[in-house]
Amino acid sequence: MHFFRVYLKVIKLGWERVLLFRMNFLMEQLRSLILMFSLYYLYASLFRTQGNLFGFDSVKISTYIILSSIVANFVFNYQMHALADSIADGKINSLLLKPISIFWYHLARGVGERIIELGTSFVTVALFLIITRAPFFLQHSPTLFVCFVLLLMLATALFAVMESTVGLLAFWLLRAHGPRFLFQTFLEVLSGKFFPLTIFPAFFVQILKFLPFGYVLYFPISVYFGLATPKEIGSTFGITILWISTMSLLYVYILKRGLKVYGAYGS
Amino acid sequence: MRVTLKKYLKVYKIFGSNVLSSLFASSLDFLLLLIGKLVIFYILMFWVNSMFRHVSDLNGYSRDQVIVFFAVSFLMDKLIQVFFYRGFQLLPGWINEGDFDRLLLLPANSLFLSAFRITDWNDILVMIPILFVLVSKLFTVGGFSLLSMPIFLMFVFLGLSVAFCFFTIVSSLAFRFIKIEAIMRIYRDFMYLAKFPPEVFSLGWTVLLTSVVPIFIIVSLPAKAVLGLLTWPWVCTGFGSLAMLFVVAIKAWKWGLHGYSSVGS
Repeated sequence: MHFFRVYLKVIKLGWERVLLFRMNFLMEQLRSLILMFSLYYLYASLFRTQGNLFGFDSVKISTYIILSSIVANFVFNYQMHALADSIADGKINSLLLKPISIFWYHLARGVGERIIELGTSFVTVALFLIITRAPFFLQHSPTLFVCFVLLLMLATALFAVMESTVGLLAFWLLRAHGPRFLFQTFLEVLSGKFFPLTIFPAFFVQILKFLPFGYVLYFPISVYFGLATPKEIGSTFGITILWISTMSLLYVYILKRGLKVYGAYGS
Repeated sequence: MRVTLKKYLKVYKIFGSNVLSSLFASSLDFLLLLIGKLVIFYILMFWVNSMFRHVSDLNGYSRDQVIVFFAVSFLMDKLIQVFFYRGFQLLPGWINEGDFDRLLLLPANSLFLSAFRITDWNDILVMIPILFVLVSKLFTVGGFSLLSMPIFLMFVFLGLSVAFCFFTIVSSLAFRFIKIEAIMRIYRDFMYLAKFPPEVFSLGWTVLLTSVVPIFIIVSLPAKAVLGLLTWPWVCTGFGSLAMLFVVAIKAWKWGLHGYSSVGS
């Protein structure tokens, strides 16, 4: 109970932090709206002459744009920048002295931000739908919908543990600019944020199935659309959980090694 | 005038060598950044090729023409990053922490010191494969002639000038607002989209990306110039935008400086 009370406070702090910089927050919402419009027009031009492309029709592709925007807003909450900076500046010392975990602290802070971003995502999507009158594919199967929601939760956990691990590299590399950039680049391109991964040739999609990036966005959305067979849904759950476990072990290992070399220079 | 130019070139050289020596100090970071940038270039090229497995053309543009658009977009993005993007990106932090005071005390223009303080050497290396792809495609795509080259270079310069004015305006907001990262990120998102010809998007969208956020002026004009597809309305819009943005940028920077309260220091 005490655990939840402590991190509930951090969630609240994360929430307040978002609302503190209102202009920046509004700009972030505008950003996702702009991205949705741009992708919508891009795909509309592709689908002008084709009825079905890379396994999607025009209804599914407009739904994909909307869902990827909501999922990205919710899942892609980068705390690694703050973590890397706090290691470089020595601000992490105050966290180390408190009886709280660095991982849960950053995750809770992210949850606070995610809740408010998810709420405003629906407003952004409503605006997008009103302006474009884009069609939306509603999944009627409760099983697939539940699987989608569960996979989203796992995706959030996978994202959090992956990006925290990358942030911890700041124990060795000042601010870890390189790893953070590399991770963000791979994630944004290979997660399916801008396009369904089926746009790539089949052999490349097979490779992507073994990497964690697609499991934070594309594969949960493909379950929503009913594009995956029950066996594939099962393997999506399995691989996501496997990646979470692997990355968690790596996180603990890197944190232990990192704290050994940490000199608290910035403090 | 000549003395002033010489002085600023000297300052720029010092800034550049400082960044270079700090890069050597963190060579692994430098290497990872370089790999990341090369990977994103090749993955997006792969993506375009994959897309053209499903469609024969994109609003009348062939695969090679779209690749030229991609390469020019990457080139402009890298040139912007090499020269002034990093400086503008870090400016809000200097303002918030009061480090901007030190720039104001130096006997040089504060806008120059803010923008050109950081040269991104990493991006110079990334430009090599981009130029290779661009040059190789120019020989296979129709519409390219030797006359296109000076026009292309002129529009590259125009694009860089427009981008500089745009970032000056955006950065001026950092004097009045604590966080402006989202606006910088909007620019990054648009840079992804400007890799496609403007005709792909709706008219309203093209107007927005030409007048409000001048991404199409920065990217599409040089690409159209090198492909021999430039029309007079686009040329007039380019020069008109530059003139307008230049005036607004000077006024915005002065407005921003007046609002600087040095509270962070």
